Amino acid sequence: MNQNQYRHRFTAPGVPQYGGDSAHVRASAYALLSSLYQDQPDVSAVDRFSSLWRNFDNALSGNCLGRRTLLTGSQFCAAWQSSDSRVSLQLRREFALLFLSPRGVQPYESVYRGTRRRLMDDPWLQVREFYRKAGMQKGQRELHPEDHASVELGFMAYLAFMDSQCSAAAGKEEIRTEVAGTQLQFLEEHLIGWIPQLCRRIEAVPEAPYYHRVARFTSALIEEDHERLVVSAKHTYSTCKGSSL
Amino acid sequence: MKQAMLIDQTKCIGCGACTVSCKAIYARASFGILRTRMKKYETGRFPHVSFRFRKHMCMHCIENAPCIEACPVNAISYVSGDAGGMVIIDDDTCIGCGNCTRQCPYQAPDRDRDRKKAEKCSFCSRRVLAGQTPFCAEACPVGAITFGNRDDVLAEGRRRAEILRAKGRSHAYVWGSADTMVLYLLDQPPEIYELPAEGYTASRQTLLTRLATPAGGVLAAAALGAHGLHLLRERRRRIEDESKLQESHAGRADDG
Amino acid sequence: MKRNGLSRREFLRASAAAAAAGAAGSFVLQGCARQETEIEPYRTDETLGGERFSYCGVCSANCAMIGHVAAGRLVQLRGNPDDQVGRGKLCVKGYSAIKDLYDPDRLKYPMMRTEARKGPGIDPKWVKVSWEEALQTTADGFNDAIESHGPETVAFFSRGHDWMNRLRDAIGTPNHLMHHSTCFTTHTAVWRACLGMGNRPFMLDIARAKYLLSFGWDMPSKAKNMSARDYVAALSDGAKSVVVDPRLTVTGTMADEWIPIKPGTDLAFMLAMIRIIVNEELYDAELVESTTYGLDRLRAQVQDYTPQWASGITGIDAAVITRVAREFATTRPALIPNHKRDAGGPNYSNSWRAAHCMVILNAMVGAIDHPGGQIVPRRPYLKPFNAVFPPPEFPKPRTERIDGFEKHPIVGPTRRGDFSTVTDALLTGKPYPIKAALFRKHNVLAFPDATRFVEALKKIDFIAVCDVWPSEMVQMADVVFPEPYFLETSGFGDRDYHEFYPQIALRQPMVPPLYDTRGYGGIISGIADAMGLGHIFEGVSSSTLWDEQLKAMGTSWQELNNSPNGLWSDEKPFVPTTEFKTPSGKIELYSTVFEEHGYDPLPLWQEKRELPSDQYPFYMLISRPPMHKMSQTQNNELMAQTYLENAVIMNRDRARQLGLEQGRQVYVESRAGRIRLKLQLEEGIRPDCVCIEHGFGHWSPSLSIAHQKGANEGDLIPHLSIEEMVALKDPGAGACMTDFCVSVRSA
Repeated sequence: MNQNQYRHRFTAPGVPQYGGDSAHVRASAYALLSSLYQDQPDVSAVDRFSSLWRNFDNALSGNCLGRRTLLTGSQFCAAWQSSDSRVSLQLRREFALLFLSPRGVQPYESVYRGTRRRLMDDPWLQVREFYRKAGMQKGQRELHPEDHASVELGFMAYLAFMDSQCSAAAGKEEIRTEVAGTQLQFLEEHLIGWIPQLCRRIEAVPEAPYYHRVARFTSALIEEDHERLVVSAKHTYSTCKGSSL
Repeated sequence: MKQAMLIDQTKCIGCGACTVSCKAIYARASFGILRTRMKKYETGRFPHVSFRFRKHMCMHCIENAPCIEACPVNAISYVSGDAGGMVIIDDDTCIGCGNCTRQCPYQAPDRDRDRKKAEKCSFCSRRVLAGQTPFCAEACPVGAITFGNRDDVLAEGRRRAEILRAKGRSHAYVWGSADTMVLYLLDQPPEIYELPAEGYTASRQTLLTRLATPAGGVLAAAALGAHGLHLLRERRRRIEDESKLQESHAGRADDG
Repeated sequence: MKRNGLSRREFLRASAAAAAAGAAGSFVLQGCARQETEIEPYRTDETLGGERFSYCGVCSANCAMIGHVAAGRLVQLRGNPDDQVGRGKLCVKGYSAIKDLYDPDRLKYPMMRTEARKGPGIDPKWVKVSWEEALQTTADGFNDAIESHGPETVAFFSRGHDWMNRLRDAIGTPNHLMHHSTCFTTHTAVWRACLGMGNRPFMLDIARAKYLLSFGWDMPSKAKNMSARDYVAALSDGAKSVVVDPRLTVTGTMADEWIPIKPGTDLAFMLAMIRIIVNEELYDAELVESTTYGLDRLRAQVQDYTPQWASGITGIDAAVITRVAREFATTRPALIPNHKRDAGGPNYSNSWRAAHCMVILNAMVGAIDHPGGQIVPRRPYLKPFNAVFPPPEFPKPRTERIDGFEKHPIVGPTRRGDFSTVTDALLTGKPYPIKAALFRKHNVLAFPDATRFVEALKKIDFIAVCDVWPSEMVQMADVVFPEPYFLETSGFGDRDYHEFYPQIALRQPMVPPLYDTRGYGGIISGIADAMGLGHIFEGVSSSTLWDEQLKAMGTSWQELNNSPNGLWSDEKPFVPTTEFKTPSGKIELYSTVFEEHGYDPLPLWQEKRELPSDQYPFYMLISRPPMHKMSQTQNNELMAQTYLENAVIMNRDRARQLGLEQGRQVYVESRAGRIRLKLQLEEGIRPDCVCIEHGFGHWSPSLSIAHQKGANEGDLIPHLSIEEMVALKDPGAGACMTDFCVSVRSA
C-alpha cells in the first residue's frame, strides 16, 4: 500500500467508494453518529452512510462489528433511507425536541455523571484532560463542550480512524495495540458510563421514532465495541506478557 | 487557635444566600439535600406575632460528637488541626445508614437516599485550616455570620446581646457557648428555634451511654423531660416528612 | 496504569503516524457535508483561569461581582468590595446565577416552530434554523405586516434598548410596551409631577435613617442587597422601624412595631399623619419653606382627615396613628422608604395618591435627597445613543397606541406602555390589530390575566422572541432567538440603585459563550438588515458606543478594562438637591403639574377599587420570595432547592373557621380566573387576606425544574379596558395588581 491510499481513506471517511473493510465502516459509524448528535440530520449524509453500510461485506464484519451493531445499523439505515422532505422535517423536529428543547435528554456527560444537571462539571474536566493527554482538543469552531455526545463520539471516531489506518499499514502493530488500549480506556472512562443511559432516555421520548434507531445503533455499537476491545486487550496482554509494564 | 462561627439570628433575613453559595460549591449531594438551610419559626398569635429564622447546619460539637460515636463504619471524625472541633464525614467511607442523623441532637446530617450518603456541613475545614472564612460567612449579605477567634466571636456576641437587651429584647443571649463551634445570637427561647437548652449536648452524651440499659431509657426520659422528648420526636417527624418531600422533588427533577 | 493507556508521548507518536498517513493538523470528521465535529492538536490556553469582573444581571440593582474561573469554567461568584451597591456581597439570586449559566435547559440555537397551533400543551415542533433564516423570517413577518396592514401593526414588548428603540422608530410604530405599569409606575408619575425627575424613584439611604416607616415596603425580604444590608445596619445602630402591612414580612418581624393595616387604606393613614404633622407644625419648617411649594393649600385640604376618621377606615387605633405621626416627624432622619409594588406602587386604584403622600411626608421631614432619606442617584453622564450615532429622519407614527398609554400625559412620554389594557386590544383587534410582534424577556406569566393574554397572543400572526430560557413566551413564538447569559457578555453599567457618586462597573465575559447565541443589539440590527433597513445602524457598534460614553465621563473602555477592581469612580461629595425641575422649582406638595393635566393636585381620600363581598371575601396580596427574581429564576436548580413552589398563605384561625387545614389543595378564584394551590397557614397575616408569592405556575415543558410547580397568581388579576383605565384617573396608569378580591375553597 502506498501513501496516497492512506490519504485517500483518511480524508474522505464515510464516502461509499472508499469503503470496504469493517474497521473503516466502524470509524465511519462513529463519525456519522457524532454528526447526528451534533446537529440536525443531513439526510444526504445519512444516505451516503447507508450505501457504505450496504456495500461492505458483512462477512468481514466479524473483525470489529458485533451482531447487535449490524442489526441495529441495518435497521437504522432502512428507517432513515430517504431524502423525502417530509421525513426530513420530522428528523429536524426530533433533533430539536431531543437536544434543543430538552425534556430530559441532555447530551452532556456532566449531566449524567456529574453533580446533577450541571454543565461543565467534573466529567467535563476529565474528558478534556483525556483529549489533552492524547495531544488533542476540540476544534476552535466547535460550540459544544468537550463532554457533549457529539464531541466524545467524534473523538472515538478519530481513534477508530487511527485504528483503521494502522490496520491497513504494515509494521504498525505496536502503535495499533496502543491505539486499541486508548479506545478501550476512553470507552470505559467515558462513553460506556453514560451514552447507553442517554440512549435509553432518547428511546423514552415517544415523539422521536427516528432517533430511537439512532439510540439503539449507538448503544449497540458502544457496548459491543467495548466487549470486543476487552477481549482483544486480554488477548494482547496474554501474548505480550512481560514485554511492558 | 480555637475558632467559632456566630450566627446572629436577629440580623438574619432568611434569604438563603448561605444555602445556595454552599450548595454551589459542595454540589455533589442530590437535589434538596443541603448542608445548611433556613427554617422559619413563628411565635405568638395574630396580631401579636413575630417570626425568626434559624440557619440549620452541623453545630460541630467540640467534644464527643454523638455522630462520631454513632457511625458504624467510622466515617465521621474530627479534623486534625487546632481550629477546634470541626467534624467531617468521609464521603467514600459513608454508607448512608442514617445513624448519625438519628443520634444528632440537631438532626444536622442530611440523609441523601439517592447517593446513600450522609451530607453535612464540613465547616469548610480545608478553607479554615488555610486561614480562610467558610463560604456562608463570606456570602451573607447582611453580615449576620461572624467567623474568627472563638473568644473574640463570643465577646462580640455577648456585646450584641447586651445591646439588644438594653433595647428591650429581654431574651437576647448567645446560645451554644459551651459545647459547639457554631454559636447563635437569639432573642427568643431556644425551643422556639427547635434548639435544646444550653449545655444540652454534654448532658445528652452521658445519657446516651445510659440508654444502653433498659433503666437508662427511663432515666433519659426523666432527664430530658417529657417536653424535650416530645420536641425531639416532633422534629424527627418533620424532618422525615421533609425528606420525603425532597425525594419527590428530586424524582421530578430527574424525570424532567 | 499502562494496560489501556498511552502516555502523551506515545500517543503523539501514534497521532503522528496517523497524521503522516493523512492530512496533518486538525482532524475533521467529514461525516456529513454541512456539519463536522472538529478535533485539533492541543495548545496551552492562558485564558482558562483567573478572576473576571462583571456586574449582576439577575435584577436591575446590578451589584458588581467577581468571578473565579478555574480550568476554563466559572466556579464561584462573589461581590466586589469596592462597589456601592453590593459592597462585596451578592444576594441569593446573584450567588445562584452561576447555575443559570450552566443550565442545560437554556436556549442554544435559533429555532422556528413547525406547528401552526399555539398554546399550553401544544408542542411547537421546533426545528433548528440558521441565524440568516431566523432573521429573514422575522424580517419577512414584520415587512408583511407593514405592507399589508401598516407599520403600527408591529409591536415591541421589551425594555427600552437603544437598538430596539431605533428599529421601532424606523418602522414607525407607536406600540412599544414594558412591564412598568405592573411595577412602580405610580411612583414614577408622582416623582415626575412633584419633583420633576425620577424614572426610577427608589434609591434609599436607609443605613443613616433613625426612623423608618414602611407602608408595604419590604425590600429586605426580597433580599435586595443594599436594602437588606442597610436595613439591618440601621436597626443595629438603634433606628426605630415601624411597618404598616397587612402581612407580617421580614421587614415587619425585624421592626419594632408591626401594624396590620387593612389593604389599600394606607392612604387614609398617611393623610391623617399629614394633618397631625401640619397642624402641630412638627415638620422641618426651614426646609419646607425653602424647598417645597403648597403647604398652605395642603393644610386646608387635609383638615377632614382626623386620626379618628382614619381609624375607621384603616382599622388602626387613632392613638397609634397619632403616635406614629409624631414619632416620624420628630425623629430625624426619618424616612418612608419606597420601592416597587408597595402601598404606593401600582397595586390599588388609590396607590398613586398614597405615593403622593409619601413624597409629601418625606419632604416635610427633609427626607428628599438628604442623608438618611430618599436619594436622587448621582449618575454619571451617559452620552445618549442618538448623540453618538445621530439617527436618520424617521416618520412619526400615524396612529395612536393600541393600549391607550398616551392618554396618561405624565407617564405617556416614557412610552412604557400598559400591560393591563393590551390584552383587550390584542383580542378585539381594536383600535387595530397587531400582526407581528417582538418579545424580549417579558414572560406571559408577568401579564395581568395571564391566561387571557395567552389567548390574545394567538391573534398575532407572527411572534419573534429573544430570551435565554425556553419560557412560556418562547412556547408562543414563531421564531426564537437565543441570547447569551449575562455572564457571557461584555459592557458596563452604572450603580443607579445605590449611587451616591458616579460609579461604573465593568462587565467582562466570565467564559466564552456556551451556545450559538447573539446579543439583543446584534439580533435587532440583523432583523433591520434583513428588512432592508440596514442603513439605520450604519457605523453603529457597541464598542464605539461604550468608548464614546466612557470618554464623555472622563475614562475609556481601555482604562476601565485595566482597572484593578473593575470599577471606575468619580468620588464627589454629596450635596443635597435644592432646585427641582418643576414649574415652581421646588418640591410641589401641591402639584401644579397634576393640576394642569386634570388630576387632583393634592392627595384626597379615595376608596380602593374593589372590596370584599360574599362571593369574594378575601383581599388579595401578592409577594415575592427572596430567592426568586419574578418569573425568571424558577428553573435555577440552586434557587429551586430553597423555594420550589408557591402556596396560598392564609391566617390560621380563619382557615380553622372555614375547615381548611395546612397543606390542603384549594381553589383561589377571582372575577378573572381560578387557580389551584396548596394552603399554607400563618399567624402573621390578617384574617381577611390571602397572599400568594409570584413567579410560579410555569407551563413550558422545556423548563425541566420549574414546569408545573405551583400556580400563577397572574391568572387572578383582572385586566382593564382602556376606558376603565382612563376612568381610574391614575396619572401612573397602574395596573391595580392587587385591587381585587378572591374566594378560597377546598379543591
